Amino acid sequence: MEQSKTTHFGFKTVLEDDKEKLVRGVFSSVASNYDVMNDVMSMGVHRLWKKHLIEKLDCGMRPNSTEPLNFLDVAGGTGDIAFGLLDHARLNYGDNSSTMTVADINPDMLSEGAKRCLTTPYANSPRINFIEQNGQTMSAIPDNSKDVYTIAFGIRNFTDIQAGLNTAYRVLKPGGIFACLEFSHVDNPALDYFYQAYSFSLLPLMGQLIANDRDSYQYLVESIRKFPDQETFAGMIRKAGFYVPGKGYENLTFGIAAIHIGVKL
Amino acid sequence: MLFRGSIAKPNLYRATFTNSITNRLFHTVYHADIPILDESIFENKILKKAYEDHVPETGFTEESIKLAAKGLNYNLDNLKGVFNFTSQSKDLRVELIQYHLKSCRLKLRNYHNDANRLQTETERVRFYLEKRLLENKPIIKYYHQALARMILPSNLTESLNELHKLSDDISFYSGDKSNDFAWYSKRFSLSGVFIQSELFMLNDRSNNFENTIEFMNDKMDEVDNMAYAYNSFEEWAIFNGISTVNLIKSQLARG
Repeated sequence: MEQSKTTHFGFKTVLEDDKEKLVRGVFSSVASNYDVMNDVMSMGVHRLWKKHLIEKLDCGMRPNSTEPLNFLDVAGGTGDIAFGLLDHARLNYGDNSSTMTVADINPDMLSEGAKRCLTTPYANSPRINFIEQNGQTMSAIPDNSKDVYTIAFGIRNFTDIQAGLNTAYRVLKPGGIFACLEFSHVDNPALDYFYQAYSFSLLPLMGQLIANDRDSYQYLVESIRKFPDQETFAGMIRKAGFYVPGKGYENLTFGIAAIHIGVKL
Repeated sequence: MLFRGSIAKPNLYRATFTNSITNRLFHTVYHADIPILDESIFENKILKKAYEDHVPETGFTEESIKLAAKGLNYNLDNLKGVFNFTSQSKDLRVELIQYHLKSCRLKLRNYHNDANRLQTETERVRFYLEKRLLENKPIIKYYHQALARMILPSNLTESLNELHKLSDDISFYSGDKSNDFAWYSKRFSLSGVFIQSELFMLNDRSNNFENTIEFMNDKMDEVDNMAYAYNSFEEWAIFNGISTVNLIKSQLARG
């Protein structure tokens, strides 16, 4: 008898086919107040992490370059990273021609992003487009077509993380860069104790009080715990075919989050 | 025999082999040479091309790296971030300068056979110094840029570190066996001679930098004389110290 494959959904074990639906449910229910919750939970620090990532990548068409860059922001529903990258390129290098594709599996998150896009200089511009895509397959994105692939706080929700990384490798041009900002593991045991205490007791409670949705936030916390640690994840990026510079990651705030990068050579 | 390789302190969380060899600040005959530069990695391939093909024309500038990346079919518009991750300085020009310093230091390893034919330690030191100074030849036109950038406060630690490594390498290759305070003073004076000679070299228009080499030799003579003076003084001071103690002892014993 053929056995169905399973994966984890937070601490629960579920069938692989079901995880996508479950994750969709979580994000549909948090979409409208996603940012408020992020601010409350991380005490605003997630904005600093995102800003740090954007500045560190320092992407943008330089004034004497001829080819605009093609950005792809995956799981970027609310567009934080997408707008940030475009702003950085425009303000530092006067780049007004690079294009951005925002992909997300969840239409509710995408419509949040599209709504927020109207308040940015990129409103109704052909430079930015939002598409509904499964990050594991990216069927609408051709091979070797993107210069920069970013994913912030999204990859841990993938059913098969390795497949997501393989797809990132597929869609990037040779010479393209992959960058991932994700919750990771605190390496100091004492700090980790407090971090775990905070995240398991306070976060779901805050979810309940502010968004009236305890289960979704319980999932977020559990999925963070289940995500592979820095070294393992850097290994997975290598396995997908990327060149990983240096040790491959940078810890942010003691490792609560980490930036990983890879280059398609 | 002189420098016992101390066992690297184990890292509680992640002990890796590379950590224990790259963090060593001294040479030892018991371990493999400390790796200086891994030319197979992506960033160094770009820096190598920039250094070899473009620095002689465009200097230690971002332009050189940009051209090199283009030559290898990469684009810094999106890959600049890679350097931000691996370098301390986050400045491409500093990376290029560091590449210059490291690759020149690496080339010294090719001269061991020639150096070993020389008789004395000071001859070998002078030989290595000369070789190292002449490595600056292809880029001497732009070397003032590099020096100016190296002494900026934010880059000073890295540059001094590299300077110490150079004088440490040269001393070790030349057969330095000191295990007392002379270990420090040798490296210190060697660094001094090297920097002064480099500064002299910037304005040297002589054929194949003969004047610079002569200048370096003069400075080394001074160091050797100083060392002789210092050693003589040390010997005199120790002798007199011990005599004084003995004199006091003998007076006390008489009661």
